[in-house]
Amino acid sequence: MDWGLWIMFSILVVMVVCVAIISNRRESKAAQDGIFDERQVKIRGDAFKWSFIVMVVYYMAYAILISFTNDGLGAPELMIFIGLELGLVVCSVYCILRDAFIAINRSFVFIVVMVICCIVAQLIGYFRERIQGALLIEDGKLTSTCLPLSIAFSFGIILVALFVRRHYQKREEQNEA
Amino acid sequence: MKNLKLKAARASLDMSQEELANKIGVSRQTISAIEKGDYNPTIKLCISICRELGRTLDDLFWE
Repeated sequence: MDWGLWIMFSILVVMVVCVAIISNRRESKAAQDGIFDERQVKIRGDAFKWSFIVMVVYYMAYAILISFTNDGLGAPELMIFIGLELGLVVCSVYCILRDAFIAINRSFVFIVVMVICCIVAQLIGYFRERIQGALLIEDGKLTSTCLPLSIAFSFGIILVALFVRRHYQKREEQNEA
Repeated sequence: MKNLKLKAARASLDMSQEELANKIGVSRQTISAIEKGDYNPTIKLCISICRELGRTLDDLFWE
């Protein structure tokens, strides 16, 4: 295994361990206090609905495109993953913009670090493939090399949404004070 | 419709949205949304707010 895969694997292990430790600690505290925010739960339900609708529309459009042209825009695994990423981004951004993404007792910094770790891991994977000579486009179609780049881009959108919302949230807090 | 009664009750206790939210166990944005009239809380949350502010449901949530 080359260095790039080792780094990606290490980042993944660190993320899983961090999530396991922090989730256990915080969830046990939240469970003791019986804390949950009903507004956030409602918004998350709406977000799941919209992400589902977006994914269904995307896969329908992709199926129609393939049936008419007998050819997709890129590698099948890439196109399938883009659908999943669309759902993830819609759900996350909907929740972020309505203050339902970060649960009570959860740290903003922790979420941001996790998202950044994911982006870094994906970019390492992308550059590793590029160094090995993989192409982004072959025969006029996107290749699966675009996959880590598209995942990094999706999480990048989520990261930007987090910071934008944070900015407006601080302004709201100042106005309230 | 804005819930000015809730805002006034909270202000009379010199309590910020953040403090009230922490005591009830919801996010600050939820308190803000209730005060702005953007969110209709459940009866359970209304009772929690009333208990924390020492008011009745009629005082804070009846028009």
